[in-house]
Amino acid sequence: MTGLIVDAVKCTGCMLCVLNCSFQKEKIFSPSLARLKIVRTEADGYWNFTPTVCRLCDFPACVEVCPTEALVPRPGGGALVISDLCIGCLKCTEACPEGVCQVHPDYVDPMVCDFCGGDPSCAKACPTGAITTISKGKDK
Amino acid sequence: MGAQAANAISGYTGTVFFADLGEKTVKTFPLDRALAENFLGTRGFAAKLLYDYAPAGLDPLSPENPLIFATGPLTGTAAFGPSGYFGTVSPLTGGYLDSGVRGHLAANVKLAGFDAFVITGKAKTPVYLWITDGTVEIRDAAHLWGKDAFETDTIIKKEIGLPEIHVAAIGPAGENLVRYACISSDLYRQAGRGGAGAVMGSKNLKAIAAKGNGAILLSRPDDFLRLLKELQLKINQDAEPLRSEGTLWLVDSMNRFGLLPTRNFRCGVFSGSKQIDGPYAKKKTGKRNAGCFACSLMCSNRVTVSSARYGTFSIEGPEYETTALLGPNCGLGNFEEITSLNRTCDRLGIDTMSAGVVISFAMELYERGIITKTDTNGFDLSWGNAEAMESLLDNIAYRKGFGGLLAEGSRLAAKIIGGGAPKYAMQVKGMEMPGYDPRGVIGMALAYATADRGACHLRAWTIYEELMGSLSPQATEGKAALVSARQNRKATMDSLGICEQVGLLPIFADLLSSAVGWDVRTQYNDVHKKLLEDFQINGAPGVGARIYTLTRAFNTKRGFSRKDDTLPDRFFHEPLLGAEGPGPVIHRDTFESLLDDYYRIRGWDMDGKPTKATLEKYGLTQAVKDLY
Repeated sequence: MTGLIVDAVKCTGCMLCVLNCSFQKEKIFSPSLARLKIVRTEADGYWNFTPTVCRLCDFPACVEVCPTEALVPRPGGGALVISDLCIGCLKCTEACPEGVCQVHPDYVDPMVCDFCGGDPSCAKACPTGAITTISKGKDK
Repeated sequence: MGAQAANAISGYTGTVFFADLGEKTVKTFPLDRALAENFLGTRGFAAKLLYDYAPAGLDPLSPENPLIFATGPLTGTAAFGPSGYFGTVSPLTGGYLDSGVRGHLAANVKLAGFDAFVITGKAKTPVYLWITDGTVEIRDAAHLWGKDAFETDTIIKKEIGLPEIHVAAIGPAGENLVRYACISSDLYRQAGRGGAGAVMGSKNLKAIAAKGNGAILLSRPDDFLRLLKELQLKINQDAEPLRSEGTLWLVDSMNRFGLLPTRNFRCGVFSGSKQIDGPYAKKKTGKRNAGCFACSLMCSNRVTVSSARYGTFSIEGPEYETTALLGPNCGLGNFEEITSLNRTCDRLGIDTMSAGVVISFAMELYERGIITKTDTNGFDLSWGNAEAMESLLDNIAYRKGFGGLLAEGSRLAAKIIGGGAPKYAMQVKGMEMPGYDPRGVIGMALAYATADRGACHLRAWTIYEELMGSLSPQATEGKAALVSARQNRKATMDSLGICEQVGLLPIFADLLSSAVGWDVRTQYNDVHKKLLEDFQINGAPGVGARIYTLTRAFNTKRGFSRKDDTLPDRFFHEPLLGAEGPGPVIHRDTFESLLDDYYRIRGWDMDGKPTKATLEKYGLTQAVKDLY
């Protein structure tokens, strides 16, 4: 099982991670449909960028608050989406400590990072190493 | 959500808006399919929309002059197409102008649901546009008038309440109609050349802010994803040199080739080049990489420098052109001072390139005694006086005293000064020269002379073939074919939204095809067989050649002809000074015969006017009516 780690200092805000994520998952380019986001803050006349990714929680808050079991714990951490069960209550989006759990605006389904089956497109697209993958546990 | 109109062509949003600032109205229209197929996007759209909406004979600073902005079919995708282009009639040249800007602006305009927009009229009081998710709002900007481009950026983000929006703003230079005022986007990305900022100022339009949350749908997403992975791999493999120094690698190369403009293009070598080159920036400025939307090249340098007057500060820049033209060209060999001048230009909204050449023009007049301290309001315009340059930039932006004269650009200022001044104005069609002396590379001489927007290095950069490739820099054979091929290639590249640092790779034909669903073929040059020249779309002749012919017709309609396809006098009369004394000069008859060759290849008559058959070949029916 892999996880994503972030080194924000390296991020240039190019958005390739979110673009590749949305295209991989939704077959369209739309940063707002990505399973991660880039938070842009301004400081001293410049910007700092922080890639914000799913933490792969052991006890995911999104799963805990879901009233219909549309989200269930994923072996190794994070959550799995059971399609059709979501009622669009948005509780998961409020509960996510990173604010990256979203519900798709067009069809009711939570959009949760599934690490692209172990080879995440965001990390692959990142040109600076701001997002990389590691085996969970080794970074502790 | 839907940024894309229901009937849109894949890869496009399908919507264009027209804003009339005088009437305070915004109307949306569906994107014309023929416009997309024949002109692709960004620069091509700017050319076509400007041709259609700019009446001949208008004053570029009048309300009737349209200001266009266009995105491309790859803009907003992950395929390295971040460019957007402004199009308008240039207050600097009186002719065709497009001015590109990268960064994040164009992607956000497109993700907000618009392929392009056209702004006409003049607002009664200052306004700015707020574009987001299918809506366009004309907002009050009275409180922003008088602010510089950086302050404007910060205030707009605060009042809209979103730090992630992207703002393109003018500074005082644009407000005061400086003829080479630029548009500053995300502080350090400029639609630099030709005075598009002054056109915004003339419309009382202070800024354009955009944030898009929509989506871009493609025709064959699986093919696109496969090609995208291939492209990303290739770009990343070749990225290291550019990531290492950015465009500053050119400082040392151009100095070694003897093409680095020094003291108003008198000389091609600069003794202090080691203090302003890429390795210096790497060692002394804590350089970090920065880049544009969806680009892994990250060729922009984020530097931190200390200067005596301004303390320690960071900016993105300076790029090569800025460094060459505000540096050696003004006799200045101090990276920190150049960086500070760069920041001042971006903040005040002045094109760094024209600024450098306008100041070098004034410095040469000062040296020669054509002007004195009485004329310059007491400024000592000795070569390399950065403090005076800094104050002069301020006076240009606010049109104070001598600065007000220089605000007109070197061509007009020289005419007003009179006497011997005009021959020291280093400009073509009114636009100041870029940072490569053409005497050492004859292809660049033709490229500058025939560039549609004036002296521009971004239409055909032949230096690669002439100095690093197989061609001899002074030989004329094949140069006209090279220039026209490079011009076509660049027009296609720009219209896709791809930047010159990435280049028009053959894979983009397949990427475009899988994005929009058309038959797209690559077309190679007849003389230079390996040179990718253009794209053919659905069987029509090349799209780049069509764009270049249309902008030529645009200028012909406004009285431009062979007489304007020329170079500053100096290049024909004074040998380029190099490390070993006087070097090449351009011979007038050689140049004229190159021009003949070029017109023949283009299908233009010997006065530089596109023939009826050429216009018809590219389907430019309105131009046929206008010119014949």
